[in-house]
Amino acid sequence: MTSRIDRGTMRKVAGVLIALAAWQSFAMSSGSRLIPGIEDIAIEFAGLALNGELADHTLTSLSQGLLGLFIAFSIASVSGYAAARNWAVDAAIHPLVSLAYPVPKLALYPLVILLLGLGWESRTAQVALECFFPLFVHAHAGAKAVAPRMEWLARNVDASPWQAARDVIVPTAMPYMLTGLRIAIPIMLIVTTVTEFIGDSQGLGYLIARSASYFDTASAFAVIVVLGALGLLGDRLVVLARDRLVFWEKGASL
Amino acid sequence: MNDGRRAEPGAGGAPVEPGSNLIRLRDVSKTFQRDDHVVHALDALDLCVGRGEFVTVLGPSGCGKTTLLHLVGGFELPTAGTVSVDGCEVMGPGRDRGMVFQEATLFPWRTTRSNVAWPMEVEGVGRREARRRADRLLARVGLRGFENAYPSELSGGMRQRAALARTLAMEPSVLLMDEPFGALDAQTREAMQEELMRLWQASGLTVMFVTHDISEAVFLGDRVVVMGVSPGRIVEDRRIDLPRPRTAQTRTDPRVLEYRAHLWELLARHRAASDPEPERVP
Amino acid sequence: MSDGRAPLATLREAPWIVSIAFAASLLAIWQLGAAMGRLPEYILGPADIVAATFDQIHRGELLDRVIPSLRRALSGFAIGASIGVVLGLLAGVSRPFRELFDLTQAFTHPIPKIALFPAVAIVLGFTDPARILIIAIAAFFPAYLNALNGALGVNPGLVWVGRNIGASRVRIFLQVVLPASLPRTVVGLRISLMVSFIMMVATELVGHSDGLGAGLMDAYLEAEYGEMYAGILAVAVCGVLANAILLLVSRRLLSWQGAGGTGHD
Ligand SMILES: Nc1ncnc2c1ncn2[C@@H]1O[C@H](COP(=O)(O)OP(=O)(O)OP(=O)(O)O)[C@@H](O)[C@H]1O
Ligand SMILES: [Mg+2]
Repeated sequence: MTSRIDRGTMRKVAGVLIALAAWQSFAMSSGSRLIPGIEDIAIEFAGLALNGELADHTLTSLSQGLLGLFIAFSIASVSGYAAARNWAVDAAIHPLVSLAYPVPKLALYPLVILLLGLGWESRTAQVALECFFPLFVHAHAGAKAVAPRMEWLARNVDASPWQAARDVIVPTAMPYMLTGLRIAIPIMLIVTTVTEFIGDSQGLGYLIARSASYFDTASAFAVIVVLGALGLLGDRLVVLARDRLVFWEKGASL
Repeated sequence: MNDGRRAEPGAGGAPVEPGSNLIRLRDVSKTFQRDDHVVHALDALDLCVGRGEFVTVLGPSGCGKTTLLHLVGGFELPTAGTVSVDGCEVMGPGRDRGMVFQEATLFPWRTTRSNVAWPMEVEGVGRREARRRADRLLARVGLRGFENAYPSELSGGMRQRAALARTLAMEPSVLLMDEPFGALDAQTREAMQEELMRLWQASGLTVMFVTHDISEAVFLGDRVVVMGVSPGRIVEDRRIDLPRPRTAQTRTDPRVLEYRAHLWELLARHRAASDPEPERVP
Repeated sequence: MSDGRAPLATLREAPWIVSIAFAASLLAIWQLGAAMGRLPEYILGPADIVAATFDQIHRGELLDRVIPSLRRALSGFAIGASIGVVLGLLAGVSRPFRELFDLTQAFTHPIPKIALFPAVAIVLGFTDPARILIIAIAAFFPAYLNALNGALGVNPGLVWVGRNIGASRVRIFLQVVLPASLPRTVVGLRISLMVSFIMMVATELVGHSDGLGAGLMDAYLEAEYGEMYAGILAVAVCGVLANAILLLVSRRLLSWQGAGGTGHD
């Protein structure tokens, strides 16, 4: 049994090593400065980290992205809840949301710029716009998932709508909302990055675009690694929150 | 099909005098619309339950037992007729009528104690006081030591006890129980029945208890109301003259066998007389 | 909610009336606002948008934009998703294979793939291959992960039945694992398709290009607002249509199990 686990771990590590080696040999055999080796990326990473640029731009990107995510989460929770609990609200907004769900909201970005300018406001709004949809769908499904028995129980003890929401519906909806969040975080990173490409600005996307304009792919990849790490971190945090907040759902798939 | 519209008192049963009736169902019908046809779940049903009485409701699957409890609980409203409790017509659920569902509906995210404290918190009882009372209730249903356990850590019987404690926390005057022990094994089930007897004896509660199980109905009830199917109606209302308090000894009483045999035959007859494809779905 | 008012009760039977009324009144308010001329010049009313769109279609400009965009989105999707499904299913049935990919996938999955675009564009230029490559990489992951989980979730009993009757490994893969993991795989494909469209717009917004995303950006820069709205509408229609088609296909494929998944997971 242990040898089996060890073999598994070895294979996993071997997989990463093979991927890295493949990249490295590809970089070396190409002989082009444009395809950086791992050591080039590491050096650029250290440079950007040491002169503080990486931290600055990460902070900018994260604060914009998280603000957008927060706005989307708030609006999606309230409207998803309202739609799940009231048929008229549901009839009004659910078809519109379903229709717009598969549309890349990024197409609205020029309009958002016209409305809010090229600054952080438009980027934040765009993040919120794109993240709203998966969050709404999951908040809605979560608030709908309350077992009829649970609702009857709430009526039996004469719980007020507010008490029923707090004690029955929100806990039931929680795992769904966390799933929504887990989908929304990568979307937030994508939209933050794209919107930072456009216009002169700040943030990790901007850093990539700037590096690229100097044909400095090594720096660009150093920033990409940071973005990947942020995505991974965000995802782990949600899973951790799930384990703590939704502890009663053992092994529920997220 | 015989005209079983009225609650015919059984051989040994006389209806309780009207003045002391807590629950009254008069000419109650309930229909459901399913796809394109109407299901008559209950048809012109009359039933009275006296204050402090323990009535068990027995009948084949689909005869409307659950519907009957839901009407008294106010979770559903009758299509015709009136349901009244303590002289007031039932218009919706209320804390005076506590429901114990077939599957223990506990919040998986709250501990046993916190589940039981919930109805009191909703009422505005302070947190500490609610917890104190919850612990007392848990001790009464034999769950001392499990206050901090989550429902997932309890056995089926324990969950059902916790659900009962939570219902008692509402301080209802009527307890509505829908096959609460249906999912338990035979031993646990008997132990729970005896505990319920003990609790009820000390409480003065009025209980309507739905079951499939003839022995359970006889062991628990002051009266056994037998229902027939399609449409749901009462075919017999039989008083059970077994001494109180009922304990494990009661099960060996020879009269238990007599009641069981009688009810068994009655049910078999009505099942055979009912529609050709009896519903098997719980 | 159940306040017993008769008109409300009837409405409740036919909620689509509320849906249409709400959407219509939104459009009407929007139109009214535009007609009153109190809105900024870049906010066009619905009527103007429709007119501008027809104008664009008439002049053939919209189609000129739609075609290269769709070509990129769909070829990227086809390449990325098919590789993803094949590798995902293989990883689902083969433990060594799965373990080999496990960590690499865990580290690369969270990278927003659009971040690779400038670097890729340095090497390949702002060309179709660069864009298709990015779309394919982005489309790969949802397809891979869902196919993998679909294959992992196959009831082992079914596989044992296959073994028991002496079916070959290939036959078990094709006739047991593949159909059993199909529902989950199809969910992955729908997510992949959505991601492909996001990446299509994203890669076109950046760098010099033709296509819908570039058209949007050009229209914005030249203050051609009618053109801009026509582009937005075209993107929306493409997204909705592609999703609807895939949904239809998946319903067909999965007719034995009811619905075609929720499209999100
Ligand atoms: N919400 C509903 N919609 C449609 N039909 C219903 C509904 N609730 C109950 N019925 C029908 O009413 C009849 C009585 O149902 P009920 O649940 O009261 O039976 P029951 O005696 O409790 O059965 P069981 O012993 O299986 O629990 C059944 O035919 C059932 O199908
Ligand atoms: Mg029932």
